[in-house]
Amino acid sequence: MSDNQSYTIALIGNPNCGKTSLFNQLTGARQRTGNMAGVTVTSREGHKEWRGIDFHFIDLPGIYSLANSRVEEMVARDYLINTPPDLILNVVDANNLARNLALTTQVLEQGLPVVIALNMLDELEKQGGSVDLIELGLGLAKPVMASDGRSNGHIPELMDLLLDNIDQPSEPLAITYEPHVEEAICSLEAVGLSRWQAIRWLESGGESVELVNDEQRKVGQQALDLLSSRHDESLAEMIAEGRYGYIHGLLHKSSSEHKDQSPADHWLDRLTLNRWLGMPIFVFLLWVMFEATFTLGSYPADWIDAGVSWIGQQVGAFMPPSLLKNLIVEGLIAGVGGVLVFLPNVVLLFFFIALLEQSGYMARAAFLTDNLMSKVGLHGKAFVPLVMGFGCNVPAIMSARTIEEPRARLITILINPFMSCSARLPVYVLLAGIFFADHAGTVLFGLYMLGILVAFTIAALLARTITSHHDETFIMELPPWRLPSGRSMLLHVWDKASDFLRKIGGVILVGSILIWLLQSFPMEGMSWLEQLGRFVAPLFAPMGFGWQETVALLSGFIAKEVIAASLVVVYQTDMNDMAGLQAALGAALAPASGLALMVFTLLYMPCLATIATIRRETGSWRWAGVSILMGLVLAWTGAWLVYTLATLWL
Amino acid sequence: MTLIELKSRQQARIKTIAGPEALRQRLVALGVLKGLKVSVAATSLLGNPRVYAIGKQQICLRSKEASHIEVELQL
Ligand SMILES: Nc1nc2c(ncn2[C@@H]2O[C@H](COP(=O)(O)OP(=O)(O)O)[C@@H](O)[C@H]2O)c(=O)[nH]1
Ligand SMILES: [Mg+2]
Repeated sequence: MSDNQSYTIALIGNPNCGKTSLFNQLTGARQRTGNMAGVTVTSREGHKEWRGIDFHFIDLPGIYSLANSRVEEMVARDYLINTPPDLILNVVDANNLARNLALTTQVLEQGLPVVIALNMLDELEKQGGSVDLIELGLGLAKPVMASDGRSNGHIPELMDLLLDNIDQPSEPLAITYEPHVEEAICSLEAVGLSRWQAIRWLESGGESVELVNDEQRKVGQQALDLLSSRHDESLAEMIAEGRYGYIHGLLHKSSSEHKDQSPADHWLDRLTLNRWLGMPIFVFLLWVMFEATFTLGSYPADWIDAGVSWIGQQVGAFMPPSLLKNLIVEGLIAGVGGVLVFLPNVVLLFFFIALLEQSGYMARAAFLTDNLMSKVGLHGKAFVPLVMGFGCNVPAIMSARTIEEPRARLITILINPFMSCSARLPVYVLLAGIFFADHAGTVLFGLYMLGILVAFTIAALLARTITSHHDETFIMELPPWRLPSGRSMLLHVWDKASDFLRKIGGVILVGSILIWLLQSFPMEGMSWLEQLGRFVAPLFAPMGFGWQETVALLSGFIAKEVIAASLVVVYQTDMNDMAGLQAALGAALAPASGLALMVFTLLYMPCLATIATIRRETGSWRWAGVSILMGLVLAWTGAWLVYTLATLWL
Repeated sequence: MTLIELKSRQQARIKTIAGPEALRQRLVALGVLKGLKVSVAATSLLGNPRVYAIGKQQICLRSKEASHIEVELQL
């Protein structure tokens, strides 16, 4: 591709400064963003053509420093050293300029070509601050441009700036450090290190740079020893002082002071982080979320239901009676339509989760629950993967990569399937609507809480059986409150909705047809499906499940949405809307069994995709096997317990 | 005194940061530097962790880590 010019541009910046938002604006991609650190774990790539030239963008995970040895930071550092991009787009949060620029100075010292995008200026201005972009650019000797992760108005200008700065010579920045540090840098330079390598070696306390020979290692160690005998401060601090000294000099000329937090934000923090109210508010918000997911979702669900039965009737009236007609009406339309009606609920749930994430509440919830998490060998950081699990367990388990301590990571992975993913929601909505119509939202809330409870119990047990390597420190920055941007909320929800629709068109469609086929053949005598169901049903008899529920649960091994589709296809008599299905199910199952069925669905083994992910992320089938076994045992016991208790109660 | 002894509504300045090397590096990278003003911004139900307003940021620390930060009360 030598005739076709292509340039690589890497986005670098602190966590939560808006890199992914900007990346999405630049490339038209729809990567997940969120108002907290740790949402992007691996680097993402995207393309944009501009003035006939192909730009290849890379969104690196957010980092605070190039001299720390954490997973995200090593990804970024190795990337810059091994495959230096043609240009770096350093995204800087204008609200916390000094700290963001500290990373910039590290990149500049390395002599890499950089363009700086000053993000979140809107927020800064709202709080009465300002930055003189020209002055800042002059000070840093790099182009500085205002950017906004939430709108694309400035993207052409930014693209032109990037284009202009390709292949420009780039001088490394020279900051003067404290005399003893300078001495050490000189001694390292004398044995062949470049200045930035010497600084990074010192800053990281003897890591982050590979020393190639014995002489370098000897001199390096001597420098570290000498400095630590002369100073109480860590080297990281001494070097940071140099960096911040330089930065404050810059900002003195180019930026004005601003208020720390607006009164409204302060009040929100006082309320949500309140020692006594914080937890109750958190639980209440979750309850509201599930209640609204159920109640608000039921209106559009009715419309979809009406639409589906209308189509069913039209097809029924139009086609002559035949096996094909039955397949289409009783298998395809009933099965697919039966899951489609839950689309509004799924969309609403994702909407609320995105709202919590984008506003900054999630990070606060991580703070509120940290103590509880630490009791079960977990970590405030495990909060992000757990909450993502409410959406889908697959990306959630992958995001556990940010957790470095192996035990905490393994526990986070293994308990994730108990965080009820959105694929299980249709079953709950369907059954709760039938058996507990008046308290459906509360039942939903209860199920999710039960999942969390089981997850924590299992985590506590695992923490006692697996040995821990070291304690990971929990240091988290609380992001500012942000009004969620309509665009990113819409994109997020639309993405989730289209995922759901794609699944309906794929696995659910095939599953419904399969179930219908097994149900309709052989034409004489008992159908294969019923034979299979009756064969396995004794296992489930203690919970009062019939062969129909048994079959539905079996089909859910493939994907959890199929459970609802199976129930619809199996139970459909001659009715063609939800009301008929509800009546049929309500007549066949006792309320206690309905509850047990929901609990079983909540707890029993992860779906195929999740199992594959567990296997990949833990590197062994053993843990995937543990996860399956654990799920089955817990689901059976849990469902049986619930059934037994509920029969006494209801 | 250390950061964990700081009471709500008290103002202090960071004097020294001690503890294991990895922790010191982490705090420095987050912009927790000596000389900065600190106060308690929030306390969780059981008193650990707490959120501290450090400079312009709000940072959540567990007692274990906060105990390594030596501060000086400001009147
Ligand atoms: N006010 C404002 N918010 C922004 C801007 N850019 C991004 N955000 C928000 O900041 C948060 C973090 O963005 P994200 O792209 O996930 O940051 P990343 O962690 O650096 O990838 C999200 O809630 C965004 O909606 C901006 O220019 N102005
Ligand atoms: Mg990101």
